[in-house]
Amino acid sequence: MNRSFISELEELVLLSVGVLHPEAYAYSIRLEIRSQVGKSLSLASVHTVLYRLEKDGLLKSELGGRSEKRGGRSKRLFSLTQHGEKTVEDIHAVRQAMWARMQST
Amino acid sequence: MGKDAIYLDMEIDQPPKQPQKLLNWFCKDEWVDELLGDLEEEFKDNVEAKGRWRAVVTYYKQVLLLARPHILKRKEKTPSMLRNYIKSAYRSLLKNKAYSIINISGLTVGIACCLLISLYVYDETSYDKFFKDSDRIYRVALERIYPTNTRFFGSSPVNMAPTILENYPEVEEAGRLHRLFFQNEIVVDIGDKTFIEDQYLFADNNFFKVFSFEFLEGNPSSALDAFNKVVITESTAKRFFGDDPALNKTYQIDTSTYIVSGVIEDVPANSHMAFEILGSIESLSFLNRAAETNSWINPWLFTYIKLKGGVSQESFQAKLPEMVENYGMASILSLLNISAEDYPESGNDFKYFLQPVEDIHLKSNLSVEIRPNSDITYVYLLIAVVAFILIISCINFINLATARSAERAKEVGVRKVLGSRRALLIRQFLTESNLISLVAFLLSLGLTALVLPKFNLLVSKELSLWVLADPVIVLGLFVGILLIGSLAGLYPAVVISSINSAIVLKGKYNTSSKGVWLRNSLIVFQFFISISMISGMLMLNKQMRFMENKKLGFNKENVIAIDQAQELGLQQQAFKNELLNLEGVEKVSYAFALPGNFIGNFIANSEIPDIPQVRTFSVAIDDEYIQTLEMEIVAGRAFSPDFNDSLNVIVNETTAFLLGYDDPIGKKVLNPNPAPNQSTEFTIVGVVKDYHHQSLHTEIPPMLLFNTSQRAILPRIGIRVNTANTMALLKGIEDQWKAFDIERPISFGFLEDRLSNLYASDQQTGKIFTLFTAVTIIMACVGLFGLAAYVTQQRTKEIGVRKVLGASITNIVMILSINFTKLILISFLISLPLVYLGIGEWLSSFAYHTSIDPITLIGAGLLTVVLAWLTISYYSIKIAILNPVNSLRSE
Repeated sequence: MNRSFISELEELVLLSVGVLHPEAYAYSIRLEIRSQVGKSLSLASVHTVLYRLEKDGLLKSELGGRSEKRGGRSKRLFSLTQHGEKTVEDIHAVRQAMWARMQST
Repeated sequence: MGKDAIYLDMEIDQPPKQPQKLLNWFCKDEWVDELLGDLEEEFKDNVEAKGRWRAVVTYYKQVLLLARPHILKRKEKTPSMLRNYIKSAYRSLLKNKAYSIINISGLTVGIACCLLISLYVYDETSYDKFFKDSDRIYRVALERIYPTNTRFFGSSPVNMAPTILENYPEVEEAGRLHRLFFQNEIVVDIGDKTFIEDQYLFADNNFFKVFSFEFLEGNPSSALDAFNKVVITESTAKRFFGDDPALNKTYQIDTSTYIVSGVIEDVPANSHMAFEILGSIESLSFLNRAAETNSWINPWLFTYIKLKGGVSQESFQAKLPEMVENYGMASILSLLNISAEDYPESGNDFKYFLQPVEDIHLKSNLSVEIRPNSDITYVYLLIAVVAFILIISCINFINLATARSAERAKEVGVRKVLGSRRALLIRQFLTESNLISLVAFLLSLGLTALVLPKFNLLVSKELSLWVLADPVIVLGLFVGILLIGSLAGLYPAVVISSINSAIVLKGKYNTSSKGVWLRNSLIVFQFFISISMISGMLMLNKQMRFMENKKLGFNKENVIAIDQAQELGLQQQAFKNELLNLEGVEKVSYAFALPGNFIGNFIANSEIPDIPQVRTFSVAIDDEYIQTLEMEIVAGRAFSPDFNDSLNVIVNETTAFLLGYDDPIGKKVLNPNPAPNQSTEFTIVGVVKDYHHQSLHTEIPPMLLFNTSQRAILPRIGIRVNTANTMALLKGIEDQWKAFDIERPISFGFLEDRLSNLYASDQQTGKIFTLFTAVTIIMACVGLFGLAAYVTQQRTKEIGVRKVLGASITNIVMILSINFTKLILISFLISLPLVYLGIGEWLSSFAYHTSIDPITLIGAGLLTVVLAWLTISYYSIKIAILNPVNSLRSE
């Protein structure tokens, strides 16, 4: 699965998963994005992105981390796959390179 | 109280119930848990941060937003129980492949036959319904009562239509159509091209007011208002003039020029009328003369009327006698030469009646028709055949299913123990049978499409499966299929589901006696149908052979017939001499008509007073006719060049009898209505043995054979040939025709072939009937085959014991066959009376028919028994040669 193009929201979600690991699940990701970007996302849109990224092989997930606060329900905990990590690095590299070229002109 | 307080306290922390239920309902099960968890976490944070009210609102909002395609549950296409039924039905079909194949293929063939016959019947019943207001269009037909007999004509006098239109306001339109009786081909010349047209009819200008043909070119209101105007069909226009517009183009017939004043769409095949060109009836001088003299005697053309809306057939029909009285009686009296006082006593009458145009194709078989019509009894016969075939396939299904009940018993027992109710089991078996009938239906559509071209050839129609692509028909078919599946499946479902699970699971269930009675009666019924149909088929073929071989009173073999001999004009004798020089030609005769051709009427009176008038058929023949056709002279002599026979006549035995002559030679035949230059009496010089000029459907009529002078120009030639090399001879005759420089191509053929065309519709019915009889018997045998398989299987152990005790293979095959044989014999006995009555009825529709002979009926029975034996022998022999060790060890 080689995703040639990643949307901004997808990039944000990927980065959040990397940051929050191992406690990355839909709610925590939403909180992270809200605090970092200041943008409030609905559970539905985050879930949609997570579902799509997992389907495309950038994320993997497992159930776990039941808690009283959740009414005893499990979380779906996400983590980056190798492919996901590489994608994040690639994006970073491309931006760095472009930054560098913009600076030098 | 305390409990309530705690409960309330907890309630504050809990997210609202309604949206949770909602999520549970629409969300995929795998995700409900984690989503609810996330939502609850958020809710609790929100309660703390913003208060409960805002938190609840957010909760609702989040849940509603979750309604996204990938989160929603897939809507299940089938309720889960039905899915389960289908799954187990599918498995059970796969598990018993032989059984499934027999069942499905039997039903497939059955349904395919039904589809074919339905298409055929649909087409037959659709005739003439495409005309606008076809339910108000009628043809005026004539019941002509003569002193000695009655004849029905589809045609009526020339002035009928104008008279009706002028005097009866309840008739909206009245049009006329004419078919040339004596000639079936007209030669059309366009420039240097010549076309021979055999679909050339004539109509008046009102014809298109009655019948809504669509005009592609020209104006219907003036299309035929002059004698030289013609209307042609689209395909004829293409043949004649290519792609150019045909309007106002001209063509020649002989020396007259005709102008195309209209082009109409081709006449659909499902019409009782067929034509490619319509000329004007004003171009026919004899019709003009009849119109001028207001003749009400000769029914020379077809009168079609369109009644105004609300006028019933009966009410207008009731006015027709009065119309004849008012407008036609003067003409009738003068032409019959009877005074008004004598008319009621004379035994003559003209009774007119109306035929709905939609009924003509199936219900009209009168003396003059535009083209041969079909018969509604054939439609009924075919519907009966369809019903039989369907019943047999359903019976196969029921028999196989009940015979297999032992096999299914264990499954049913287990299901019952696991809590399946009986209604559920019945539903499961019905699902299975409906699945089979559905699969069979789909296969049968393919099969029908496959054999339809062949079937079309057989019935000479252009049927198409596209007729079925109508929502109503599709729905009807679907309901029909489910009905077949349910009817066939219901009995086995009820029987099998009634099994007591305790008995089955203890291994004590035994099917050998269950449903045997029903199974046997169904087999008897099946073979009763099969034997009846085989008998019918054998008798039909016997009648066909009878008609082919019936001594017609002349020798139809080795006679070549040439039409349109009038083209030779004055060269007829010269042509005859040239023919006689050809190798293999024995005799050549000119005549007005050869057997099978149309012939005229002649009213004859006897010398003896008080003998009623005899309406005879008459034909003009030359001196060689009787010898050429090898007819038998029973008294007197044939015409001969040695005598002048112009005032002499030869009669057939029927005429001699009707005129009351015991010794007819030398007696007179009186002519009460002599035409100009015609003698008032003729002398009988010979009596010819009764011969069949017409088809065997009709009785031999009284006939008069007149002699023609050598100079008369006659339209037909009969040639008696005797040669092994027919091709060369035909070529020789054609070359001679060309050598006489005749523009028109020769039209000739063997008399025998032409005569067999008289029975074309009988032969066609025979073929269709034979085909479906074969299908019926094959299906009955397939069912028997499947049944034999199960019955022999059940008796494996018994056969093993018998073999151990010394039974021979022959013994065992006999034991296994005897049951079925008994059943078939019973069927045979039941079928006898029905076949005897039914076939007797059918045969009596032929004036000359073969008799029902016991050998044919017994033959049908024997044939069935032999087929049944062959069918069950496979399993009987297989099990009979089985080593008993194998069948007995396995306990």
